[in-house]
Amino acid sequence: MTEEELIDSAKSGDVDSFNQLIYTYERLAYSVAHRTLRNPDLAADAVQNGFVKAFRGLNGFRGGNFRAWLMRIVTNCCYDILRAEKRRPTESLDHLLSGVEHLPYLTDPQESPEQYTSRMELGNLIETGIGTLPADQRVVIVLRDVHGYTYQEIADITQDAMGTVKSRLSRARGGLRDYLQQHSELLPETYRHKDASL
Amino acid sequence: MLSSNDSHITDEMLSAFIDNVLPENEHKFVEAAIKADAEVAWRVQSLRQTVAYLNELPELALPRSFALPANISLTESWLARQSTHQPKAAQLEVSTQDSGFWSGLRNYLQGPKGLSFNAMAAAIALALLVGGGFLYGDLLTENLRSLTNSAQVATTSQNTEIASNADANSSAGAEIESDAADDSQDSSTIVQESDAAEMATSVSVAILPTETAIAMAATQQNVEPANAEFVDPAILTPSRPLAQPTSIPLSTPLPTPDMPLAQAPAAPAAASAAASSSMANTVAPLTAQAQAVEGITDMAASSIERADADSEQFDSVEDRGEGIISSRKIDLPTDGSIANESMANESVANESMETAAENYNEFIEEYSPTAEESNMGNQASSGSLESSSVIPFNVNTPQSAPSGVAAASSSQAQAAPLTESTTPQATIPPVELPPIVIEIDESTGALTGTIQVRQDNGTMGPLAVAYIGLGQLDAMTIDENGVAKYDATQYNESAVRYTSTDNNGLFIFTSIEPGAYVLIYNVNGTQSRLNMPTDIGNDVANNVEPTPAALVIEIRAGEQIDTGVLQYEKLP
Repeated sequence: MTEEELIDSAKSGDVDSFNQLIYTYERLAYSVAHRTLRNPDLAADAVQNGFVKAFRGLNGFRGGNFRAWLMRIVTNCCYDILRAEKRRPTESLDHLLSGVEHLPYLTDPQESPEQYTSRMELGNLIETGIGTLPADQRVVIVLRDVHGYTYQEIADITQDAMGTVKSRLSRARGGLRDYLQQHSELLPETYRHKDASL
Repeated sequence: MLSSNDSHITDEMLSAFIDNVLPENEHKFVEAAIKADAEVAWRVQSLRQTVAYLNELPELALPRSFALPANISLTESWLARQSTHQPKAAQLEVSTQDSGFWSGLRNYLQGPKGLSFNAMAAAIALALLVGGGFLYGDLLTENLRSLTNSAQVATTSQNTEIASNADANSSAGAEIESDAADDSQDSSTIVQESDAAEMATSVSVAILPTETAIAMAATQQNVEPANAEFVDPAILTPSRPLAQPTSIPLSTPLPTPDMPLAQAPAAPAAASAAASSSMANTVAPLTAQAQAVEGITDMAASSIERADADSEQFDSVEDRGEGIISSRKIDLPTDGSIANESMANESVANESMETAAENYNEFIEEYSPTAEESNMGNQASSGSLESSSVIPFNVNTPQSAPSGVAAASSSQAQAAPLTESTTPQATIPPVELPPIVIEIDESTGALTGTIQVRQDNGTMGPLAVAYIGLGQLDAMTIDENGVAKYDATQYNESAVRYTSTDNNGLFIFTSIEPGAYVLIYNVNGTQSRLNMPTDIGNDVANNVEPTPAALVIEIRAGEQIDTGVLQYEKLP
């Protein structure tokens, strides 16, 4: 079945059809939510609530880019959680737990331990750098540079003007670059600026 | 933000450049700059490398599948169960036991409107409490006593939801009462934060419609109905009199029973009446509102009298309060006899209300030309325990001091035609707002300004209550000298942010993304861009039509821009 057929079927209440759509986009949705919320549990909540809301509001989908429509709902769920967390700041106790039950990254069996370690270190550095950005910038840079959304799709998802998307993206990239510059020991030589003051 | 020798090359341009979304002329401009300036070249390279790192980020593993169960129940409670982090979760669970009506009300109260309403009520309660409302500590005590009595009588046929919530709320009322007594003894205006919060909640309940008040009481307390000992939600309301001004000009004539409450002068008792009437509204659909009204009437009038009389009565507030609290919990009737239960409750309450009733009667005799009517109304209503109508409730902002509003409202409530369709209304007394403080974070800016326009009488006057928009400019061009220029006509009309000017023509925009903007004047849905104000006087003198320049405002992160007063001879 094509995506349009699945959507039509889901609109009639077929959960299985909607789940087919979920299988297509859940990894993308979780990735965006995780990198936006910086918390796997909150991200899972946002994604799950987003999918349920999407299913309930599927009749409101008038065609067009379903991926952008779905991600807009998930992103809005992320913003809702961020607002709630801002009102009720909490400190996760997960970091106190010993042992990791869930690795955030997929592993590549072809990768050597050294390569894996290096990739993880760089990945963690970038993820941490993303976490230092404001939430609205995080969403834009993740959608654009991690998942390859177009400017127009991002504008549709975030419901912002194109100029706002461009502005946020440039500031997010600049901010992340500045952050990485402060930890340039993990970066290639070509990435390090000659002037340390910059 | 990294700098460059070529200040016109911004990171935004470079970011668009590496995505190949830059206009052709700007693209060429950046390419030339890269070749000419190593710093620009490094900035482009570092941005590209940053994007490359992001592209290579490892894919995240899913912690679980997010597929929906085949038997999914698409209700709010299901949503709530799925997310333990959603603030409404627990409350939504409770709502599953309610009808759609209660759930709707509950959701409304928990939504932004309810929150803001409570916050406003809290602010007002705090402000007025500090202003000396504690002098009514014994008034509060009497309120509690009377309302407890009336509520117990009135709600013998109440459903368990209200009863159980009232039970839970009784502790809040007890705390308020005790604290009020303490405050009275200390003759201080110190209000504990927790008490203030509870009182704020009480205020909001007191001025809500009947069903809303019940729903709110039910919402705020998650209790098991099966274990309910009855205490009426009226316990929530007595804090309101504390939030009223302290002056009580008893010389003001009492309003007559047929006087609309909207015309009645104000006094601390007005709030008491409002709270009492609201409470009466709450319990009226339940049968036996008459005794509730009677108790409320006694309470309000006697409280006014004592508050004005002397401070000796404050010494006994605590004792009386404890007595009331201890008598508050009464088991639910098992025989369903409303009349018997009502009489029993009346006798219990009368023991503690004797002094209040005497004071009230003395007060009525001395000050009220309508005392007879009021008493007659009380007596008449005392016998109509089976009445299930709702008291008409229309308390507007009182302007001056009516010491007898409570009596008038009560008697009017009993004498007036009773209808359930009447919507209670209450107006919150005006509160002087603090100066506006614009918070600016590091990533956004703010814009303020004042707009004046030539009035019909020839003077400059504020453009009051007008829609002013903020349109972001997207198109930027680089002239032959390398100077960046914006085209003020190129803004997204569908993405204009709007605000309204105040009576002084002041407008405020906050949380503005950095960029260039134009101001938009919206009249009847027609957007018109505001230009720079022109000195029309010179132009008129020279017989030259003014040619205003475009008004473009550049907003930077962390900065607040004030345009000052923009004076226009006429607006588009």
